[in-house]
Amino acid sequence: MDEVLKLEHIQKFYGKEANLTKAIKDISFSVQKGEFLSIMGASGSGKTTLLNVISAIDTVSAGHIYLDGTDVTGIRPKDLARFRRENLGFVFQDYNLLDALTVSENIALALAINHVPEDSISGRVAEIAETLQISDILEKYPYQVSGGQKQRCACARAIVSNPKLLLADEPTGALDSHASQVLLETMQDINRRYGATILMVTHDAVSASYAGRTVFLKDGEVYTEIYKGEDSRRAFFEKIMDIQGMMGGGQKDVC
Amino acid sequence: MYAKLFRGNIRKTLRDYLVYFFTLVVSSTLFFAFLSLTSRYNDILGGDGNYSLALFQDTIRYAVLAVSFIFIVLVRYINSHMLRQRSREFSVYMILGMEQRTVAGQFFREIFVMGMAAVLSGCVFGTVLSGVMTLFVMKMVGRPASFRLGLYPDTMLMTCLFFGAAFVLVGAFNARRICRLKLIDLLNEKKAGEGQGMGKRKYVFSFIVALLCFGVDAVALYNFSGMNGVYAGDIPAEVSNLYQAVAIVAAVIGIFAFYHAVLFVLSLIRRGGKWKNRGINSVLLGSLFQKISSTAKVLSISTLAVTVSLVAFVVLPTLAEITTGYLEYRMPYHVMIYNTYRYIDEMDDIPQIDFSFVGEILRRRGIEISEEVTQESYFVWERDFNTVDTREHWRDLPRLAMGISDYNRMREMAGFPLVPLGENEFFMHLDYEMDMEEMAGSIRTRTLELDDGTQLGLAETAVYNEPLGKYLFNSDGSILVFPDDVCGRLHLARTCYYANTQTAVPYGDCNVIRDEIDAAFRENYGYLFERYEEKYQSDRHYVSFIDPIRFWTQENNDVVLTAVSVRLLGIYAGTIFFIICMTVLALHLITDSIDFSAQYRTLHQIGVEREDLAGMVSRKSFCYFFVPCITAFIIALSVIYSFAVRYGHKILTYMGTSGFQFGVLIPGLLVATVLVCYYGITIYAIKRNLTVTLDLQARGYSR
Repeated sequence: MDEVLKLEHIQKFYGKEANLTKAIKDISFSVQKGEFLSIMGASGSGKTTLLNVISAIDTVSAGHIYLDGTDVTGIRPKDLARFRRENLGFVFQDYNLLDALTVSENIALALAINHVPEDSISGRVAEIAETLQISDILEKYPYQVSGGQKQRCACARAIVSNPKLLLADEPTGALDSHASQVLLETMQDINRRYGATILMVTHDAVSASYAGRTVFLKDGEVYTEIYKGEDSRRAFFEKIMDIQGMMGGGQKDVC
Repeated sequence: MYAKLFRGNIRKTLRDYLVYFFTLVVSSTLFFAFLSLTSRYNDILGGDGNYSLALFQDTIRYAVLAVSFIFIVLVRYINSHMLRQRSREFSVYMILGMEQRTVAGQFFREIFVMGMAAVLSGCVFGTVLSGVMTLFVMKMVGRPASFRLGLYPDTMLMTCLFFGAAFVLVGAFNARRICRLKLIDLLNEKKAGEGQGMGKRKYVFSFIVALLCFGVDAVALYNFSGMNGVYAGDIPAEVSNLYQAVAIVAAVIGIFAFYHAVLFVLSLIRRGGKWKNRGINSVLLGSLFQKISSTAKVLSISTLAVTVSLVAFVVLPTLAEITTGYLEYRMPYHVMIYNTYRYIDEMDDIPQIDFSFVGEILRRRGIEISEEVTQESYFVWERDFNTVDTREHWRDLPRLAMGISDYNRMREMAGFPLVPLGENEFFMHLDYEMDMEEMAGSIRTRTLELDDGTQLGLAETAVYNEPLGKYLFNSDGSILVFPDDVCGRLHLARTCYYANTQTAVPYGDCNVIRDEIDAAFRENYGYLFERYEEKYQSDRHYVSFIDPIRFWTQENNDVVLTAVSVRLLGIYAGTIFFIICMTVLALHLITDSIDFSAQYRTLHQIGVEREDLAGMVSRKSFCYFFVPCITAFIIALSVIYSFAVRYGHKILTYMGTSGFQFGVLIPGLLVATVLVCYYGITIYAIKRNLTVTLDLQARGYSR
């Protein structure tokens, strides 16, 4: 399999000498094309910071990040916008849909920013809406739909332009368990059907169990990683819980 | 797609910032209406021989532009506020891959289009208001007029250019800021703390400072008001300036310390007392504390601005009223020429001036004199004469005396009845602003003995004070009136000239006639200039021997139009400052209600009733809105009071107590009306946001 994402000894510090905070101490790993990877860790382990540097929202203090062979850390600031729209899709914890636009317009915006011809935009929006089961709410505004529907809209917006990498930051954080399940199954479906490479940050073991591989972060470093392989989701979930137990945190009870 | 985004954002911005849009419309309406008075297309306001509107129009134009620059502060503030509120939205655009400059350009276009829509609406309303204002000005100058709408393309262009330039300037600044901001900072911008608060010591310190400053203010005002009993006329400017400066500086420092002092009080309430545990009072206290601590500076500046506005509403129109009333007192005659011996060192050099050349100069221009008087004043005692070297102070000039004939001639020319004076009697004529009864009661000298032994007794009517002009007095606001034969034996001190003309002296000729009179005097009495001009002209208080020379036409024009412009500018400045403050306060509350929607949902979820939530929101809004306004009102009252103490005699004389009270009440009512309107709009918007939040929650949705 091709390597889509490669992180080489990346570090991220904040502050000055006397007051230095090391959000990421030294992280290296890679992600294969079509892989569904989850990154787990407690609060303060550096998960969101990692996501921010991979998506070029923030800069690294040291190290390199390669996305499909391109060194993200070397891209000029004025080229970052183009890099993001051509290569990345982003799903936020709090949806971040635009209230001024309908659901379909929110999804279409991602295509419009990518200069996709106007004729083909509505077709692609309809297709992705069908896949994510949100066709019936396309003309509604974000405040008129539920949290789960909003997050599926956000997913649709993130993948409609066929990004090389889909980044999700705690996508189930604001959802109830049923909505979370629906969303995660949808993401699994996107991964299988479109071969989308997904990198999902979460602190929730249930969410992580939907991925094919889980990397554990602790204090800004990779603690360990485990593969799902042929295990059932339940079995993978148990492994995740064991690792969390060893890391000295995390829930023991399964919902 | 971008067009849809643009339209959607405009609608959303209009909805969330309706108060700002309303303020823009009002500001541009006022700007247009005021500036239309200076338009060259305004043929309703046309000058004639008696009036020249050039000075009035220049004053209005430059003053309106100067005051309106404060508007740029509002635009910048609101734009920065919008940027902060929408930072998350902009970060989403950028994460989706939109170029930073595209995001900046989109924001700039939204703000510009919304702003210019408000300005164009303002121009339409301004045209109507302009008709009203033109009518007002015409009435004030005593000319007939009726309401008429005019077309002022130059004013429209100026209005669009001024506001457009403000939007472009601020928009460009913000666009640059967006382009330079790092995405990670934009993403986290709103998370930057609200209500971080200061340490306990700083609250206590602020509390003490606020108490001290307001205490100093109160003491200064109390002592200042006591000064009225010390001086017969108005309190001297240097004394007034000192007291008012101390009071104002103390008030300003006190305002800035005040809100931190409020926080100290809130923190005490939070710490103890059963009240805070009643219902959701703790939430109210907490959110008030958070809001005030994060916006203490804004609240202080708003309080200061509202104070300035209230003072402008009252003081400037009052000054205008005083100026207009003062004109009648100052210029009872059409032509007035003042003479002074202040820079003459020898008594024998004091000239007995023959002012017949004035009549010749006027006649040459076709202006006939209907009545005139050459009024001579005398030293009561020769020892009264002093010079620059022997005077203790530049105003150290003695009370003079004049003859009854000249006095009655002046009374006749000013339209007052003649008065009798017996042989060997005298009486006093006082400045119009003095309290006649008080002065009459305080006269202790009932007999005067002159240098030649003549004894004069005080007449039965000891005091008069009809307005015969300020030139009558040498320095202290009074003059003695003696029989003519007594004056004939006294040494001449001054010779002044007063005349009424059959036709008004044309406005445009006044300066030329003045120069001709001055030149003629120089020619006739050149020795004075040879001996004294070079010696004394560098003196700070130097004036020529006949100065000032005044004409009623010119004074009336300048004073009346100055009074009108001061009145209008008082209303303009007061309104602009006031609505800017109201907008800032309203906006903070409205965006607060949007930001707090999650908290409202949580409170509702844990069982707080809608009505209780609405009540809490109302009380919070009331405190946030009205505390600055009430504070400003109290401080403005103290400033207005100090003004009333300072100019009390003039106010009583030219306005009367009821006039002054009216001048405070009317603006007060107008301000209260505007305040209630803004508060009403704000409360409506906040409660609507709350209702929408809770309704969505009931349906399982959220914002």
